[in-house]
Amino acid sequence: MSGNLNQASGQLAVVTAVAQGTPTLTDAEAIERSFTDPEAFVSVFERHFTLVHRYLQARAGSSAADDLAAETFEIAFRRRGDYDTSYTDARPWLFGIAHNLAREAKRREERQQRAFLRLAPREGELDADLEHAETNTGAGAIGEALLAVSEEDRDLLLLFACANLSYEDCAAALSLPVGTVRSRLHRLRTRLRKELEPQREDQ
Amino acid sequence: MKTDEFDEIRNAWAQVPEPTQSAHRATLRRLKAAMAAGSNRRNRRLFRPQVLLAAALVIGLLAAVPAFSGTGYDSVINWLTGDPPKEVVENLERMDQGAPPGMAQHLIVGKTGLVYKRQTQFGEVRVWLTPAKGGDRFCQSFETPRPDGKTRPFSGGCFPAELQRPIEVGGGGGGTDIGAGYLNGRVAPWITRLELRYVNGGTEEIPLQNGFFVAAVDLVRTLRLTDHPTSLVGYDEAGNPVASASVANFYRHHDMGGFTPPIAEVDQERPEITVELPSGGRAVLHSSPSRAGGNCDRLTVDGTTWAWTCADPAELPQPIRFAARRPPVKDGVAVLLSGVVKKGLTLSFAFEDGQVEEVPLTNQRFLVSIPEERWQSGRRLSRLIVSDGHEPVLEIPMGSKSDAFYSGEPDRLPGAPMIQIFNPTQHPIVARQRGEGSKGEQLEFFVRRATPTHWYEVLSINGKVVSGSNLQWFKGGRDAIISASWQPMNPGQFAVDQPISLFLGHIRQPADQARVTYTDGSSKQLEIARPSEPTGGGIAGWFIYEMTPEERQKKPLRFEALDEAGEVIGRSPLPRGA
Repeated sequence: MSGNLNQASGQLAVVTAVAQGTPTLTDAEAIERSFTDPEAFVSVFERHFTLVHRYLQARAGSSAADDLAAETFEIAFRRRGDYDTSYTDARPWLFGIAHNLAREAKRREERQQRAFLRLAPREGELDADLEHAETNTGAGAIGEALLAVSEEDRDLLLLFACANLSYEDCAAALSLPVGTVRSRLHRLRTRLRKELEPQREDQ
Repeated sequence: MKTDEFDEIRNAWAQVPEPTQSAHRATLRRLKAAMAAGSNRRNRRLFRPQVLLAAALVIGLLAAVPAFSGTGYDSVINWLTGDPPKEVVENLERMDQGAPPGMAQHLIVGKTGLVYKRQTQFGEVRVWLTPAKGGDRFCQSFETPRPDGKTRPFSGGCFPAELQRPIEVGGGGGGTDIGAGYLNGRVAPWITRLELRYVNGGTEEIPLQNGFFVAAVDLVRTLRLTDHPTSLVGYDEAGNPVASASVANFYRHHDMGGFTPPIAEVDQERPEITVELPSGGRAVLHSSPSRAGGNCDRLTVDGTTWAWTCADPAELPQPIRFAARRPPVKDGVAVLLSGVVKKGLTLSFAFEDGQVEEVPLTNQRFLVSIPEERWQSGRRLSRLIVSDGHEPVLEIPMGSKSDAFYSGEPDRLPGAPMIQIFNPTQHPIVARQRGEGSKGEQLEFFVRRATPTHWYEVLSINGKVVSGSNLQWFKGGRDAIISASWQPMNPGQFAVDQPISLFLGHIRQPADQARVTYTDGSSKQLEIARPSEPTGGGIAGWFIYEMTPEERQKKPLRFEALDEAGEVIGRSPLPRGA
């Protein structure tokens, strides 16, 4: 037992040293350095872990977020050779990975749900159950606030309104043209404004 | 903070908690592991042939149950010359047929290259590597020598592209047709020499090619206590040992369902524990010496084998290994717990009413039938307590809330393993049945014989292979007179246009016919596809049965096997969910 504790504190010490030793590195610089010193990547992790984890909680639920967040950074490390270091901020890249993982996790859950349900025992029963599953997995921890919008718009709202990504960064994270991001957000604003009007009048 | 239409979302976002410290630590641990194993290459293009490497790892049981795993790594591959044989190409092209959504590999078959080839004492072994679209996965085809001297496909599978350990190793037997066991896998680029070590101190150098290796070991030697392989040791260029991987566990601690482990000395089997069941039946734990140390235990209920497990109590990795099984008995179901307790430890059962009973162990084995008076809520088994004589070393809570566990449908016999979707065209078809589904589907079920005890069952619908099983028979294994497995298939999961619910089954000699019986006592004869030559340990034929809505309304109850005189000699109940 004491061996485990020693090991854990040793790891923390390494993290602290990296974080303190490389305070001015941008994400791109840390990634660049990680090719010769892999530990440099830890600063990217420390900088963005909380935000990515919260995004995944909102996107996929708190129970799945731990694993998906860990997978996000593992993949990011393994694929950092593909990172375009002309982008100093790694958030769009990380959110892109997290977004794909969350989407795949949802599909996997739906597949498992289908496998569990197997053949539709009665007319309509399978669809009803799948719909239920989708509702449960789509909203995540952020709850009803996002339930009213489509899955694609949900991702966009989280990145833009919550993670404070720019139009360009949202576009990069979701592999969308910037124009599409702008028009979707405009549409969402219009829709939400209309929905909020009656509430404001009531107040 | 901005004030706009998105405020409601932002307010909700503010409620999303920060990750816990343990989540942070766990993620960092995984990241560090990736760092330790990962590459330092930039701008890797996995489709570039010289980097297209990855590896192949056949993880399998000696019962020729291949399964696959593995990852890629970062060395430049020197493709060996030669084109893949037609059989390899055909198998690769079929690999995606009927794959469930998300499971298709999308192979680029035209880029298949040879990465490993060498002569072993049994003949030539070869490993072919094929990239998959997307670049982060690869598939391998592993060819092994056959008794006729030719090298043919033995197994294949796909894996992601990242090396997890310096030496990744799997094992696979040679099936029933040759006495070889294989250890194969790949090593990290800094390992330049690989050595296989035996328990008796012997060593053998295993040639590496492109980071891959295949060790061919006499099957008897892989199982023999005195000289079985124990580990692989990797050396760097300076000759220093830099990595090792244990291979002993491929031959120990097997839990093989109803299949006889090849390490069991079945000729020396004896009954170890006998439990009389309230129904008048009898559960017996039989024990055979294991060639890998310890014993192999076979659980039977009224003569039917339910499980095999091999373990050495002196070296058991856990304090206890146990299983709960619920076989059908005359008046319903028996609830049996059996297992092995590590040497030096004892076992007690704690019940919901507070009572604690020590479980008698025989050579550290136990077999207990939970009596019906302990099935009632409030009196059920609540914990397994493993102690070292002074204090508990492990307590295992038991689910006691499930009424179904104590009174529901009994378990079905452990089924034969479904290995992979596979239609090896090099093997002859020895049984075939064609029919029409309720929605006009063209159904075809056929059996390909690899050896008399190793065969493939293939189901095709409308000309597409939608599922297949790679099956092997062992003496002493489960020889049910009649057995059926349920295969419900939905579009999207299988290559079918409409949902179809099928049962595939077989009868074994002396059975001659099969039928499905309904709750009202009526029955329907099933068409039997009879083998053109002996196949699968006395299998007399196969049948397909579709559970149409009309059939479901008739409430089918079970399948029955009949002998030539028309007497029912075997039954197989339909699962309730069907």
